[in-house]
Amino acid sequence: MAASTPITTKATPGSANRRLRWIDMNNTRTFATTLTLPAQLVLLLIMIFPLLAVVYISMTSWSPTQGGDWTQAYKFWDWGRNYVEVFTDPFFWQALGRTFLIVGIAVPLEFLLGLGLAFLFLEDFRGKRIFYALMLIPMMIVPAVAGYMFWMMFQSNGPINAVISAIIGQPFTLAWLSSEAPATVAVIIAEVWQWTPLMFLIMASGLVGLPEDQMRAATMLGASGWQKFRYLMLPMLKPIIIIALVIRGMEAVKIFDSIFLMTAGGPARATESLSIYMYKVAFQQVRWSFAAAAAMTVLVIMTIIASYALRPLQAPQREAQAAMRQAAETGAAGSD
Amino acid sequence: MYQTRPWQKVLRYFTIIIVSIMFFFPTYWMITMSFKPKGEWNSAAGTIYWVPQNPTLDNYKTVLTEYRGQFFRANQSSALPSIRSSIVVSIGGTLFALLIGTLAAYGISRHSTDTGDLPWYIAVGRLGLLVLVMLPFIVLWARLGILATWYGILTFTIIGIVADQIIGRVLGKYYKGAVGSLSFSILQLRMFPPMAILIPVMIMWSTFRLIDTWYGLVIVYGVVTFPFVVWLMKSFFDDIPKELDEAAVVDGSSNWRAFFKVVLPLAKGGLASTALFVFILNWSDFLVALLLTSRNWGTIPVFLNKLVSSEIGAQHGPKAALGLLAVIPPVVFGLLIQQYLVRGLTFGAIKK
Repeated sequence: MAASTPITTKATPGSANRRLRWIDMNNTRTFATTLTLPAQLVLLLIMIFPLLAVVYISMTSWSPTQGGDWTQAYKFWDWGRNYVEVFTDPFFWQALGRTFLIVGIAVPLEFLLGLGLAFLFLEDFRGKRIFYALMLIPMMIVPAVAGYMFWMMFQSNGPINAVISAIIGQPFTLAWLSSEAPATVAVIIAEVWQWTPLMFLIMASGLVGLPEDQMRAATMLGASGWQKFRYLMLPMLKPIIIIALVIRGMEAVKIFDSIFLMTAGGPARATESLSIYMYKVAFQQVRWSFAAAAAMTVLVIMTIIASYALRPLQAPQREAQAAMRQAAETGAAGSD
Repeated sequence: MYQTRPWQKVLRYFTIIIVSIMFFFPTYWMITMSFKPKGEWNSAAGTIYWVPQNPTLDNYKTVLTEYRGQFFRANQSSALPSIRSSIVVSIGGTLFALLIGTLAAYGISRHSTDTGDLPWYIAVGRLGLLVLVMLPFIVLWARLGILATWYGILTFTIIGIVADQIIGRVLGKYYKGAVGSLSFSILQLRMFPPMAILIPVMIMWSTFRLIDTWYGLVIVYGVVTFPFVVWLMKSFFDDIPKELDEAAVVDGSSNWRAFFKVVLPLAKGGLASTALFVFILNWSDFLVALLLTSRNWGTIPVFLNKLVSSEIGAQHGPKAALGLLAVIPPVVFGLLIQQYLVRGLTFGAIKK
């Protein structure tokens, strides 16, 4: 790596390499390539073989119980039957819908709670640090442990029912985890409990980062609290809100630990998320080829969602690049 | 900057206290449970013990010592090996993710026009073509009987990489946009349900004898969390003016020196909070460790799941005790880097 290569030098034409088109040429090529090379390699090494192995298995009817190594799966070749089965399996689509239902309720709830709490914690008050620390504890607790705690608390003779009984004044013995709707509610409560702190932290640091003089100016001009929130804070917080929602949403669709420990997808299939569904198919029913086909289907669905969900994240970058390009063009036109 | 009236203050206190109680309650339940003797775990008799009546340290003893009596079957060991393996694999995975992720983030931040914009039909189409091309190879490899050997996997992967590049070029001839995007692939990796990657990884790992080893787990942890590193670190690098490292390079320092001596120290805070997040992600993982470990390197969540004895059912007390012990490392780590946290948490979206 030539140490003194001026960074504005165009790369020599001879080294033009179409494979590396995604690398901008304003620095030494080799350096830029080296930087991303480990990540590229890891992606390829970890993706190519496993991915194709999954496809290979999904095209057969092989499973560990059938005898023979997975490499012998070609002996059970049966084209796309597993995919047809996946597409016609109502439980698959139910699990998909259920996952999005849980995410769709839990993530906005986490966000609203987090934002509200962030507002409550905006000003200094006595004991702020203690309450702050209390609010952050759930984030540090291993989800598997949390799921387990909630499992105990939601028992029909557990503390949650005891509190409800005390409030309504008569015995309340709902078996949360063994009836359908309450089980879903319980799972969502666990999810919200675990992740609201992260939302709260993100929103709180976002609020602290807002320019203070603009707030003061708005106050002096007689803006009401709601007006300040609606027309000043919300637009300024927008990027961070989008990022927080997308990040949480992406992580939440993978929900497994808490459900696995609280209900294991039950009662019946009432809380069976996609991850639980695939776990059951692969490790309880031991239908690996079917699980592989389901995994591929989910992968395609997630890719489609990702290409839309990630767009808001890249918007600022795209704008910045457009601005840079424009500046470069006008700069080029202006000079000489 | 925000004026509040007295009644608002009272209302706020009230709300904060109520919400804090609600949020703290599960933790409280866990803490008390960890001190409860066996008789108070269940409330089967109808009485709920809000406070341990006869506080005891037995649960901690059970978890931390080789206990062969009341709770465990004879061959059960203490939780210490699982604590050790949790620490080793979480730190290892975090370092691995930080290493490849930070480099990639710097590369993408400084040297790339990659917007991560990739239409799904290109992403899926490229994958589909790769599958079409490679499927005959995998069947051939299987028939040759070399699919489950390390050289079989290696040659297959190399052919796959070459095929992928060729497909990319061919697609590039016919499609005017980007046909591949590193940052898209990286984020996409984060969205996959873990099960989709874990089945083949289990197969691969058993071929390479990586099941139930710490390095096997470290690699998987590094791979599944490095997208997070790239994402966060890129936003921190984007905040550091490009002119700084350019100036360093013009002044005669090498690119690597500019990165390590100029840019990285400036992104120190970001690196610290990224490390914490990745550490928490690795530390709290259950599924990966459940599937990729057996006897020697099971982590804390895996051990927790096994804490059931046939004689008296689930071990509520020891589970709570171990769960509480598991809170310590992330909290300590968090306290150590506290000063960087707030800035790190805005994911670079709010510029100071």
